[in-house]
Amino acid sequence: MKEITFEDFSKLEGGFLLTKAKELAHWLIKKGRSKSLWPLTFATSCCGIEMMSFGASKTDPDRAGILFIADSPRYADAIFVSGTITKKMANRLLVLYNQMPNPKYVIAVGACTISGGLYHHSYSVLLGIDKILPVDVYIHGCPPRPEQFLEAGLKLQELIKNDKIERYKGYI
Amino acid sequence: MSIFDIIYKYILSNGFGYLSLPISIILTLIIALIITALVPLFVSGWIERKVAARIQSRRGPIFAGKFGLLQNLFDAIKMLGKEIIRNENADKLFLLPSILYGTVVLLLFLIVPLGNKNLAILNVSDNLLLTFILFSYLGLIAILGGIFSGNKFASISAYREGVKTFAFEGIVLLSIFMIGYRSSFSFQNINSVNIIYYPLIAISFLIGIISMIDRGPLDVTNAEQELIGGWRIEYSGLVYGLPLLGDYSLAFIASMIFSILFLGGAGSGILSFIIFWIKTFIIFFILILLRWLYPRPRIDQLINFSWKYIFPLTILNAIIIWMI
Amino acid sequence: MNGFEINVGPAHPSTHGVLKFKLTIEGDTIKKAEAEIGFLHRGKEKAAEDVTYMSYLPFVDKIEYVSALNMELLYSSLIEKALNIQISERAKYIRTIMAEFGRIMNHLVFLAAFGEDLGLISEFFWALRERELLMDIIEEISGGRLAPVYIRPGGVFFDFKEGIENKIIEAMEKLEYKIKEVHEYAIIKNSIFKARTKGVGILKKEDAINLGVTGPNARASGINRDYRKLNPYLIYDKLDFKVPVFDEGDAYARCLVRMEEIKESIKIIKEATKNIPKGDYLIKMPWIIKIPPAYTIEIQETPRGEIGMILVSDGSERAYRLKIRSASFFAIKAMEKILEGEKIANFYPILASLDPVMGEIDR
Repeated sequence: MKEITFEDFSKLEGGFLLTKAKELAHWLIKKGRSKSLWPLTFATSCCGIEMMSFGASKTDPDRAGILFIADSPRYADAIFVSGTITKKMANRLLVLYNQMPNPKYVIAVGACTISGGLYHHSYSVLLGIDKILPVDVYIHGCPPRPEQFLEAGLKLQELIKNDKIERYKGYI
Repeated sequence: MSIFDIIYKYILSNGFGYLSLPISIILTLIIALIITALVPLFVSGWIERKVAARIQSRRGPIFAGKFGLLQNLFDAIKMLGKEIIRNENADKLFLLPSILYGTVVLLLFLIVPLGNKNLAILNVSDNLLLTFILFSYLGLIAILGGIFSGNKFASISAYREGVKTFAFEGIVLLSIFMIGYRSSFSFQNINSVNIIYYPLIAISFLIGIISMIDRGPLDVTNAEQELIGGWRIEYSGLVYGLPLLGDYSLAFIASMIFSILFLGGAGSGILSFIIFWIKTFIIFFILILLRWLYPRPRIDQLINFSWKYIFPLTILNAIIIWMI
Repeated sequence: MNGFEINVGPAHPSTHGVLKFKLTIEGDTIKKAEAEIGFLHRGKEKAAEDVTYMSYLPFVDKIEYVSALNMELLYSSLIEKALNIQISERAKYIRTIMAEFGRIMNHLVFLAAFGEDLGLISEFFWALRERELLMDIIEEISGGRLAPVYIRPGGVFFDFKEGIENKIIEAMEKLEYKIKEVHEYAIIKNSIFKARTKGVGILKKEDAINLGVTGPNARASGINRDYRKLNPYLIYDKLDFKVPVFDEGDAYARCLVRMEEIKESIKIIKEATKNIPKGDYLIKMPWIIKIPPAYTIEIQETPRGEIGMILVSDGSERAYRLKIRSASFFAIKAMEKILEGEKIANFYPILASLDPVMGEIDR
């Protein structure tokens, strides 16, 4: 079964009214995607404990629409990769990423996922996840504070609303 | 009298002749679709999110629209734009259970009176039995969804749903028959405050209805931390959104039905309209509290509880009232 | 054997880290369970041979990342024992207070995960709200939330400022009130919780001794062993606290042990804060130190059980071999034995009640 998207709709060409209607639909869907971002609950090690504190009541991400309700990858929009990714875990992470439906965004949390971090001379750690996944926002810190998570979430919302993510330009 | 009758008379009196029947059918369907979409997005979804947030000492959504009223609308818009993916092992018809779920919710909104005796969208005789049949369809849809998905966790959830049906449906049916026999089998004719005569039946009806709509502390088959969503595990995009919004609407419909059956039915006039909605919102608040303040029992404990404690209470109440 | 195989894979919806179980089920019961670990192996023991002794401190507190202060205390005591240094009394009191903070923070994360796995999502928010109270104080004392490199060989890195003792006592009173009024009623006295955890996941006393389980998991099965009383270190021989022991060995007893330990830790902190002596807080040590050839062992009672470190040094500035014996490793092996014959609906409550942390199992 093919993907059921609005791709065929976006290939139509026409006059003034149809172009304006396409622009209105595009603006509405971009606004909707940016105001409600549902990340997958995935945590491996120490940055996962700070992600739990991020989801709790002091920095409340539900104010901005970020709700941790997605337990299965089919429901999720984004993935906060937090914790060290070893070579054994890397292909499970890729399987999870492939099960998420389009459009999907990736945020790399902590020093271990940017470049290997503290374990840069270890034999079993993947040195940075941008070797296997396309990353949109990086968060620095070891571990970062919960307020930095919220800032990264808001920055991703801004990028989505202004259509600055390369692989989803013009995607309805 | 119902909303369909009002519209039909108005259009007929304006001289449309033969066309007034199709036009009034289309207008009624549009009104029904608007109400079905409006209630979970703006009324019951918003209240549930904000009250649950306050229980957990935080605030709910505040940035989307004033007081966060538009947050659920943005969720629905986002779900429209996502892909729908099908597994290799899934059946060809694997989207069907989700669409049937939405249809059941629409049918329920068509027959339950919305505040006033004359404000049901369609006036059907024997409303009460039809409502029970629609509620028990939900269990069947869950079993179908679990089997069609082709995922091991969904199959386990389908088996559990089959077992859970055995626990509470008989008790709800018995409660409905007691009320129907005493007052009437149609919502428009129930006028007495039945909770005075049948307090124990009211409690068992409430617990049974919570279990039949898969909500709150008795949702053993879906949305649990163990089975990651049960029969909905493979859905994405709009087909996931339909059961999610349907959950919010069903809780609201259940509280409307409870307040008609037990707390004095839907009368006519403006005062009883306002009092009916006050009663409904109080019962809805109780349902929210039960969901967020209690942990979940296991499936065999649920069956134990229902047949050993709730069923005798129901029979006891029925016999006492029959003898008086 | 016949049955249906299911993988409870490395990515869980709850917060237990990357652990994979392969279950063989028949109907509703589990016939056989097999664990697979190693998804978080980062090579910590090899890294000790690459960096010098003091530079290894940031590695140490990410071994058991939920209560990092206890691991720093263990490593610093090991280095001081190898070099034969005695620290001052004030440093000992401050270290005891920080160790008990670590114990309370770990048990609060246990309550959050346990409540959420049984269906009460609000407990996650309430327990983490209490944890923020303590994190504010630790941040004021030491500058870091989750991994403050605060306890170093020689003492502690910063001194207690004026007025911090009043804040500690105030926070402890608030915490005691909240534990009595909110968490006990939500968990211990709730009848649905009791029905779901009593008689579930029983670990017998002989099995616990044979498999090497220590800590709160063993104390819930009737073994009366606490390393703080067996071989007292820091100032534990001067303080007056009880060790809770229960006999049944089910998940309810493991939860009760941890609740009582929170209350005992609050008592210890209040008593130690009122009697801190004055004095020096740190013995200055050079950044590169050399340890003469020796074989040193140090064991301490962390919130999960007894953790031990063995250091083999050879006179140079790096270690020759560092071995870590962790406590949750044996709990996972015990879980394979507990799961035979249990229902599949009990899997997550049993896993949550044993409280494993993957950083310590895989190292």
